[in-house]
Amino acid sequence: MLPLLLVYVAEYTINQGVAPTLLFPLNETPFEHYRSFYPTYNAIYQLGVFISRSSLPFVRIHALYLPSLLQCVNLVMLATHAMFPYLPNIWFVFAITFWEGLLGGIVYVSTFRRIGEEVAESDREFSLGATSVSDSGGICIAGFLGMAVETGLCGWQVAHGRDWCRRL
Amino acid sequence: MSRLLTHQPGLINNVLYVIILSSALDLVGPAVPKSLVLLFDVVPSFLVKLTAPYYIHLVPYNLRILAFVALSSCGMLLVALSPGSADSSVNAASIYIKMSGIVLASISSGGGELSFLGLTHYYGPFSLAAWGSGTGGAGLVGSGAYVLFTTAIGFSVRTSLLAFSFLPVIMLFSFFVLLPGRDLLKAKSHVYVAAGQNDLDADTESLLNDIPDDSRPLSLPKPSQGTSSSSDAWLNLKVNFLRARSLFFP
Repeated sequence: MLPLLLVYVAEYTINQGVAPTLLFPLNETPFEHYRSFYPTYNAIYQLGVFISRSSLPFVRIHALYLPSLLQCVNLVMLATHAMFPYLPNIWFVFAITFWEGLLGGIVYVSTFRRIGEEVAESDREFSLGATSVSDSGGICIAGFLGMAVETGLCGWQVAHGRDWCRRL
Repeated sequence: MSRLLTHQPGLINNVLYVIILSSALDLVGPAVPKSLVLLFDVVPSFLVKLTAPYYIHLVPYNLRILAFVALSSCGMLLVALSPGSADSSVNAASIYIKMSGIVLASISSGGGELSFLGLTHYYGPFSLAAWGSGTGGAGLVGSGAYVLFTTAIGFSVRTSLLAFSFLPVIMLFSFFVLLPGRDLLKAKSHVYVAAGQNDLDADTESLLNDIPDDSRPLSLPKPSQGTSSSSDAWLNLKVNFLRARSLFFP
């Protein structure tokens, strides 16, 4: 449960809190409006999730904490980028967002695969259902975190001369 | 072919959740924070998944599926049919109705997820792969379908949401027509196989050792199937708490 919870906290804090502030000057991007960034990040993220959640028959990972920690690295990386822009262009953000989706999806399916394979037969049905609380729990925590993070990051950017997050 | 179709429960179960999130801005207007919609979309799911594993085994799977389909369709209809935010008079009552619709859909998707994950135990490892892929597809299909309906085709938000409220019905078809072996499930759905009753493995045994001797299942008569007394229910609950605790750190 813990890796699944962790990965979802990091993932949804990125999606709800950090992603709305990952903006670039429009002439350096494929976009014409600032409101186009967020749904595009979301679509790329969803694509990553779909691919890794579909990868169960082909990819086996045993370590669950490692991808969860990598997801926290993503969160830190994107949040620090929002504060001190260092990624050269938007394509790096696209790549990280895709990677974020891949990590989240693989932890989800691998968690339940391991329960299916490792938990004793008599406990299995209960365990599969009981563990499903982790992702929703993570999203709830991230919902609250995200509100604070988005307000904080946008405020920081405006205070440092970048007011894109207040434009559409 | 039918194997491909088993992605449906995962897809349908999660797709309304994604559609609601995609439509958040259109639903409540810019004045209400979008995170509020996210919370209404997730907290009920969370509470269901947190508590239901301890009691939902009393409800057979076929009843659960019927209930969840009804809940999510009703929820979506409530969201779609309450007056929209577009007609400027975004009254509080309409937002309350929409939020309660979202709560119903959320309860249904939480209950559905925990039930179908439990079912993968009976359907075998392939079903987990299909479930995972279906739920992953829901993100793409849900956000894509909303943009397609409202922007590309140009349906109104209300018409689109009305159309989507019929999606859960597909779940009935998948579960009652496509998925095999429901007779087996009906028989098994009333009780979890009580721990300690048959194959007691090392893990479970060490868990059970935490329970004081006087209430150990091994020292009790076999729980009577279906008509469990209150002390059996209490014991079951305790065992399940221990199981859940052992799951926290993998």
